[in-house]
Amino acid sequence: MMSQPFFSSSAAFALLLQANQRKSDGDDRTALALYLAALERFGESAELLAAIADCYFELALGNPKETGENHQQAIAWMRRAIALAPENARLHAHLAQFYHLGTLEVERAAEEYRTAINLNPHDVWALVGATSLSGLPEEVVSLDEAITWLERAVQLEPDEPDYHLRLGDLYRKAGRVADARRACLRALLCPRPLDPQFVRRLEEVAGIDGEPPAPR
Amino acid sequence: MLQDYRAIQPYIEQVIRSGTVEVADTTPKGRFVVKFTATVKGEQVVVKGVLENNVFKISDAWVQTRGQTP
Repeated sequence: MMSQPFFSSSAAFALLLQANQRKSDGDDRTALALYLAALERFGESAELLAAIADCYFELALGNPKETGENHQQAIAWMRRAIALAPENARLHAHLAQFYHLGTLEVERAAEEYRTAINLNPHDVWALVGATSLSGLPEEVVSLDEAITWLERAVQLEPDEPDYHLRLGDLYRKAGRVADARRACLRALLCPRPLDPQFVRRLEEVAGIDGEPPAPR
Repeated sequence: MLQDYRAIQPYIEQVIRSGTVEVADTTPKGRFVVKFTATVKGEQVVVKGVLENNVFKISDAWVQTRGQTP
């Protein structure tokens, strides 16, 4: 476990500030080296191990020639973090995403998302991430389950247009046409506009044909 | 594996070029995980990946409506 001096150590702050700057600059490799130095010097904590895992995941995503090694590292380090903090819902959600996008182990991803949601049913990021597993050929998440999760996410975060659009898409797949259109309308009433690149999808989900009526 | 990819690459390109796109998820650092959907030769094809700075890194692709009439 990380010793108390870590949290009161100015050397630890200096290392983490440098790592933060490197991450902000997109230099995840150097950030990773700094986190590993902090680990070596101050011992482990779930948060530090998770930060190391996230760096490996970012390295994997940012590398067009990724062989899978960084994804495996991300999973291994996140599992170590979870071993220290098994009740931390968010860590399970991160691990789920590593499985989903990294190693394509979607059954394990679903399992980790369910653990995360059971631990914290109000974690919007976990709820939305879990929903992204619906519609896969492996059918690891049912449509009803995904709708339940995303309805809850939309209740918790009603101003995110993407969530409404995705909920509309799930309603459409479930044959709930009126609910799908309502969700799409709701997406267009959020304070933040829906990104124009997603408008065509919304038109498909809402079943909108032809030109919209001119404003009067 | 590489041979398989070369065989399906034109279809994947077609889906990304002509399909509709939606956000499927976001990464912890805020990258968009997006899903492109398009109909290719009567089949609905989905390509999923991570988008950042107009670079799209494919994580998965599959046929959604195999055997169904679009």
